[in-house]
Amino acid sequence: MMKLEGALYPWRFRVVIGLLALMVGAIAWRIIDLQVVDRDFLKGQGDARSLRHIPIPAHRGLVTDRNGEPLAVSTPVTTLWANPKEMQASKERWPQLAAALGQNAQQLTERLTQQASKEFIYLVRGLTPEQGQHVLDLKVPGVYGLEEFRRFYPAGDVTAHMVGFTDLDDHGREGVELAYDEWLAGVPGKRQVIKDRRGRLIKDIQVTKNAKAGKTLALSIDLRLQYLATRELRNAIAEQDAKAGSLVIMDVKTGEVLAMVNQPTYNPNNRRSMFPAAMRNRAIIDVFEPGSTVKPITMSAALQSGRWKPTDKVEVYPGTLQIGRYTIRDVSRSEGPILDLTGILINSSNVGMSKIAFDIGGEAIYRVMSQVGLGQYTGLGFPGERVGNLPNHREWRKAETATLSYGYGVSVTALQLVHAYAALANDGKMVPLSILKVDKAPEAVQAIPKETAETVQSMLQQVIEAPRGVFRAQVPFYHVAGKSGTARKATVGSKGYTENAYRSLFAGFGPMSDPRYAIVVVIDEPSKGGYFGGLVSAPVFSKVMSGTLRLMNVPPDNLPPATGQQQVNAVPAKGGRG
Amino acid sequence: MLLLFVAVLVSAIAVSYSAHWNRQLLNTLYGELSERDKAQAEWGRLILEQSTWTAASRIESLASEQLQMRVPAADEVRMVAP
Repeated sequence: MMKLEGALYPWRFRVVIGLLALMVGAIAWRIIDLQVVDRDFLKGQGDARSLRHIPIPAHRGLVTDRNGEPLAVSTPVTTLWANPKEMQASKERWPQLAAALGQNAQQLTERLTQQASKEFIYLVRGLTPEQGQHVLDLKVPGVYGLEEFRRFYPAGDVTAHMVGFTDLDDHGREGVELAYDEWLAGVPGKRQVIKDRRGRLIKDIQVTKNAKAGKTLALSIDLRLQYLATRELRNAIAEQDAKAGSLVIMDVKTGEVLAMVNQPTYNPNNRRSMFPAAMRNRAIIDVFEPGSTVKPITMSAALQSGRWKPTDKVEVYPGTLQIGRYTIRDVSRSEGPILDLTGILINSSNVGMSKIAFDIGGEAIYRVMSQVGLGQYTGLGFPGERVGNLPNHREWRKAETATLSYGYGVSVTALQLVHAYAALANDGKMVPLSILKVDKAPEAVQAIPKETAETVQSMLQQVIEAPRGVFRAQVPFYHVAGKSGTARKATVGSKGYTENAYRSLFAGFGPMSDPRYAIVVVIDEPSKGGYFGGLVSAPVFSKVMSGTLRLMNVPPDNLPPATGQQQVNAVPAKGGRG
Repeated sequence: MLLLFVAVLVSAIAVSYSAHWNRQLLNTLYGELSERDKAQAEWGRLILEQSTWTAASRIESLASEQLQMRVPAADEVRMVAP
């Protein structure tokens, strides 16, 4: 320490030196701290400015039908994006780029000038890899490629409602694509890279996480049946000038939905053709009053009660029945004043049905209807699915009992109706519904006693085959059973029913030798040539059932006796693709 | 001391070699991955093509128009007992 004799205030000098030494010490300590003790901090800061994680897109799983036909396929596409900031330097190349993209040069220039301060815009999404590469090969500065997947639907509008679709970012938006999004989506991977300030890739470091491809999903539907159903429904709706329609085919033994189609429909490959009304999967999300098609269910309740047997007679004359303020009417004149139970179904007599219902009570009908799933949750988990409504009154008054017995005051979906008929066809056993392929038939619940179901089956066969039956529903070579229905449409938003607006329904199953397939046809507001279910929907049922039985290789059980003795070498109509 | 020096030298070379090796392997991996993606794209396209050619509507019109096929009528079908 030097002497500070000349100093006026020697202690001041010492304070200054002391402070300086303290500063040096602080800086030295900070250097040691950064370099030795807390070295992760600087490293982290450096990495944060250059290390980037790039997602590796995962391949979305395939959706197939029950035979492995693809219904939704993901193919890689190239999306081109640009950094407008970077592109301002090379304006002379913009026309060339526009030409390669097939865009208007002036519009592109405008867009790029407007967004000059941005660092990311999409130029075009979803090019085929070749087209994308072609543009990238021009090496216009600031134009980059990005790998994405696009979903294609080979079956197009035939399976649109079932399969649904995904949005541009490959997330499910409708149908199975939404319901099973997690299963299909897969998990995108990550890779670590070093990028410079402008976002150019300098170096690949490692793959942090491999992309996990989505899994394949096999639906229960059969594309051949789906196509057949679409064609027949479309023809019928065009012929009748109807507003809409649905058709569901079900395998009664396994509970699988083999086809579910709706009209109008849309093409999921062309998003411009989509409008909301066409996107409704009506078979699942539209509820309606099932009308006469529930009469077989009411009949099961009557037979189950033990108070009725098929030969019992009911007087239906004069075709009307007064209950308080209501009058129950038969739609058409019955073939006689007194009918047996089968006759009531054949003539679809509301009066007869109501008299039976008064005898067994509304509660009994309610119980059977809920057991076969009308107005009950199906457990499918399909997006937008409706449950319908089956009211349970504490006290069943006559009007409520009567209307329930012939299908009013209860609302169901087409899917619930086909499920109920499937239970009848399957000797009373309810098999849970499935839209996915089922390897082993799930456990069934006996909803209706076997004898009752068999009796109702043969009654329903009579409904089609009797002289006054619904002959339009008959299927050549096979015995089938079913029931038509015509329901007035409830007015939207107010009480009562719309004048001259009807739903024509038909529900049935076959072949009678061993019922296997149940079909429900719903046609909404047919406006040409009548509206009765037996007239409008029954022919569709006949055609679709005929095609289904043929495609599924079901041996005919109603062949006319062979004529002549020529050598027989023909094989029964063989299904499958040609 | 010399031994330690040599050991340090060797390990230094080993480090740079392993870094290089790592990069090479990574390159191979990316090569293979892009190969796979290409194959997958090709497969997707082929599947689409196949399902276009085998579309039910196309088969049906071919069968009925070109090959004059039709569903046999009731009196043309004979059941053959299995």
